[in-house]
Amino acid sequence: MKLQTKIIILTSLIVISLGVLTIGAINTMVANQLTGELNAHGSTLVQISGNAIANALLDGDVVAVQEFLQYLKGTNPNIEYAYAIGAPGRTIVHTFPDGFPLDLLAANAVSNGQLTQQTRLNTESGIVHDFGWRLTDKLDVELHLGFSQIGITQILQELTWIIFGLTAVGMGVGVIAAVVFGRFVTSPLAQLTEGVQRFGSGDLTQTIAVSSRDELGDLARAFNRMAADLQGTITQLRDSQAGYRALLKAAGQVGEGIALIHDETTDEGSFLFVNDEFCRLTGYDRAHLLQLNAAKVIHPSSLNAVYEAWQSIRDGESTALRHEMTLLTRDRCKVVVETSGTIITYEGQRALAWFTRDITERKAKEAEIQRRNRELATLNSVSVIMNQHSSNIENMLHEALEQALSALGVPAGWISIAPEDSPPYLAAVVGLSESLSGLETEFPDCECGLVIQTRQPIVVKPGKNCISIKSTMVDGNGINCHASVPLMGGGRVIGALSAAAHSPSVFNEENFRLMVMIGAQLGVALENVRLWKDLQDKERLRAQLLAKAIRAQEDERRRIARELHDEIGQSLNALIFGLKTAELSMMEYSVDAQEVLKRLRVSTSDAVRELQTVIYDLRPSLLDDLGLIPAIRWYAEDRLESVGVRVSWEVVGNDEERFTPDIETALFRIAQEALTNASKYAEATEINIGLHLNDDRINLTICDNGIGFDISNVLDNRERDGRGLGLLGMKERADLLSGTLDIESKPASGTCVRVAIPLRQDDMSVFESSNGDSP
Amino acid sequence: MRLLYTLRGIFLSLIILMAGAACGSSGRDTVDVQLESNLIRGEVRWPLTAEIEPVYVFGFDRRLEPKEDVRIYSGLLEYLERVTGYRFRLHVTPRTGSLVHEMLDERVDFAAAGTLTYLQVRETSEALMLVSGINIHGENSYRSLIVTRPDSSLNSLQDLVNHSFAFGSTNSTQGYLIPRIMMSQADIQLTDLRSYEFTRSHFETSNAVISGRVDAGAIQDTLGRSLVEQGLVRIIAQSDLYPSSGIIAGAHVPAEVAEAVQQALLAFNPSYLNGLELYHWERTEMPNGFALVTDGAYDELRQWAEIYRLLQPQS
Repeated sequence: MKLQTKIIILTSLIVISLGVLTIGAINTMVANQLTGELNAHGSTLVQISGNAIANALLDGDVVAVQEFLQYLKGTNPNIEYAYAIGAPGRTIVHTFPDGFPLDLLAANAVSNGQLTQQTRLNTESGIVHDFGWRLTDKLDVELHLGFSQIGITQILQELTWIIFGLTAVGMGVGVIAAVVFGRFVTSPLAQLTEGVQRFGSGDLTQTIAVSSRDELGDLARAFNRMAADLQGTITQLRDSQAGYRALLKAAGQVGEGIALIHDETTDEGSFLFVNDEFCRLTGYDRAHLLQLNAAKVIHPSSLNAVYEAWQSIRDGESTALRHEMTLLTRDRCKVVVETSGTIITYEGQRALAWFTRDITERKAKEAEIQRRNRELATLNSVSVIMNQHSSNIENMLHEALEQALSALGVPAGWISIAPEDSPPYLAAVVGLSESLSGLETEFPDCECGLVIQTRQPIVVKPGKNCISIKSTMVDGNGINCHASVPLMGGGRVIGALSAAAHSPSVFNEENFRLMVMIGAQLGVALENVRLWKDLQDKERLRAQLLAKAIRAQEDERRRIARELHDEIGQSLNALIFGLKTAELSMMEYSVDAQEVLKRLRVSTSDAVRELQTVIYDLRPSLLDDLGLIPAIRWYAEDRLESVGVRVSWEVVGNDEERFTPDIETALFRIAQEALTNASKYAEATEINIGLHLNDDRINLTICDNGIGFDISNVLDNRERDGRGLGLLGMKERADLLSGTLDIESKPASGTCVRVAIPLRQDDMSVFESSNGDSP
Repeated sequence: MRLLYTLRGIFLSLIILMAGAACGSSGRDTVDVQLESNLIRGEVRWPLTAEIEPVYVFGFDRRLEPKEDVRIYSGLLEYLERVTGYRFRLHVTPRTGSLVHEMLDERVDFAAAGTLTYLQVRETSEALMLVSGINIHGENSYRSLIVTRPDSSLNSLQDLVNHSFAFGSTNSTQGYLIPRIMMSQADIQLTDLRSYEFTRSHFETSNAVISGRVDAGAIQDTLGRSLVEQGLVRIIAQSDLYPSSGIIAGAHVPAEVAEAVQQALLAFNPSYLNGLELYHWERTEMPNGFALVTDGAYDELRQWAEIYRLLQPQS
């Protein structure tokens, strides 16, 4: 509808409304006023008239009353009727020409206690206001005047017509004014409309001509300013859009998924826009996503949290919210993303801008890090425990076991140790109602002993020979299952770590891995303890050997010194004395000079022989000159056969073959020690010496039929029993050459010493190169 | 569409307004009557309201104009109804009628009447003067006044000779009997007057004097003094004190009713609460209430009435 039409209609309506309102208001006011005046006039007139004719009424002067009433009616056109009740006899004097209406007898009598009364009567000729008056309520003397309302009605009707006419005139004038005004207003508005349409079609360059200084002119000028501002704003918007597109593209390139979601109730939750990265994340193509509701790509576990976050943004509690959630791809796969959102206006619609970044890999790595941290923490705790109690294996294992069980979250467990040369035993127990001393283990013969064979962790149900079948947890429950992992040390399974649980589900891959690590750590720890102990023993042995060597050296020096002193020294002294005697004899022409010199020669020969013995004892030259076998042979003959022990030989291989000095010296000394022990302690009558020469090793065997001895006893008491150190020295020499030494001996069963020394190619070549350099 | 709804709403509102304005005056309490049908031709009398309990009729000698008398005595009846519990109605004796006859005919039960009326009623019945009125001086007696116009040349009773005179009703004590006594005492006969006439009330007598229709007239003292204060008349003579008017109970009135009314009248004190219900009580002959009176107090007047043959009711 045109504005002009609206103005015309509105103006007409206003005029009509005002006219009607005026009619109503004025009619009401005039009616009320006239009625009020009527009432006042009637009330006053009836009282005055009543007073005037009271005496006549009391005197029964009917004629005077009649004339008065007729006079009243005749002079007051509004008086429809008048009647009076007089004394005596209550005669009614009235102005009704055709008779007194019966209805009036009961319609409007003045009530007792009242001297005046007004009654509205609805008659054939309209409303009549009956005003009644009485002189006293002790006497039936009344006057009634009936005032018709026709006059008021006529006046109101005339008034209504006048106002109606004025209204119609006003409406006509209003319509004309509206038309004129409308043209005056709509013409510039039409120009403005044309301008707006140009703007709407994109032409913001043309302005509207302004010719007036009124509000329309102001509107036109404001419009022109608006166009200029819009032009600038549109330019900025275009730049911003370009920037936004670049931003979205850049965001997509760095892995930022962006989606815009309707935030208005009609399309709430549906996608408005998605970038390539978001499509890639969800596995949907763009067209499909734009038809979906965002809830479709959100995993049910994250829906509530997402909705609450969205609601908090809407409620203004936060402008942007960042949290993690899980998406559901087209292939029903889960993708963990980090998201943030904020409310924006996009293309005129309120939307939630949703930024997502795939953190699935990061979460997996975080989980892995957490797992590894847990493992490291556990291993670190175990390591600390092991370091603290490195000297007390029982405490170490117990605390380590407690730590391991705590990390695994299981209530009970135990550690079994299976030494190489002794029966297996329980080293630590936690969470079982029986004490360590009260439990027996059949490890590794029990089911969990499979770890020794497989070296793999296992989960077993308690079998008949399982420790777990014989015991209960501290909480009173039986053991439904337990897992065991090997404790590896020195390349072998030295025991097992077992953890008991109520359900096998506890032993998942992660816990198993942790148990294996703990087991490995414990194995290493135990091996280290063992090695440390061995090292300590070896250190002690070395110290002992060193001391022995020093003592031996000293003894040897002492012996050499004594022998040199006692024998060679004596001989040399005798020789000096003899030479002196000879000198003197020669001077004195003694006959015994020749005898003396003979005796000196014999003494000197003895001294030389004694010296050779000493030298041989120190190091036989045979060893350096002829090699190992001749040296051993000489030593055996010299030491054993000289005391009646029969020595048998078994040589396999080239007995003239030579080896490196270290090998020959070590084997000689081992043989020397063995033969010395046999001669000193064995009480043997026969000794067999065997030498097997292969390409890659030398095997030397020395067995006697002596009384034998308790090897462990001798070794344990090596500091008192010199054989112990000697045996250790033999082993040391073999170990130094990466060889092995085995001693078999039992009391009354003789003794066999077996040495195996590996040969390398250069052991032979070394010998050849050094052959000409023998001392 | 919204504009159409708005326009429709405006139209409806206007219609309602107009209807309201048009019907503004209707709807109030209105009685439907037919003025042009069910007509009663000829003489019509207002129907008498049936009374459930007895209503005692109270009449009165006219003193002022009838409507004033009616208003004055209406207040007294309101008082009597409240105090005694009996119901009362006023009765106006027609001009052609006689209060004495009405009391004797038992059409009137009580009456505020003058001495002569009482004497006439008492002459042939056992009617009782229950109480007599107390004047402004505290006396239950009254006088008559002979009044003339202020500019009249009359100054005494003697001057009445050969002048016109107006008496009140022939039944009026103050208007006729006492003035006759005054003239008699002044040795003036009726024939000495140039002319004389009888009016129906002190009020009419006053009007006759003031208007100049007569030279002098005889009226009650209270009215006369009131007119003197207004400068309308001048007193040329006043009588002696005689027992004042009072309230008469008809012989047919039950004794307990008469007793109750008598007690109520004796307790009547216009200066207190009673005054709120009264209309110009000070203009009556009993402005200060009532006092007990005996029949013997009227013996002197009875004798004079007998001399002038006034003991029979005058028509």
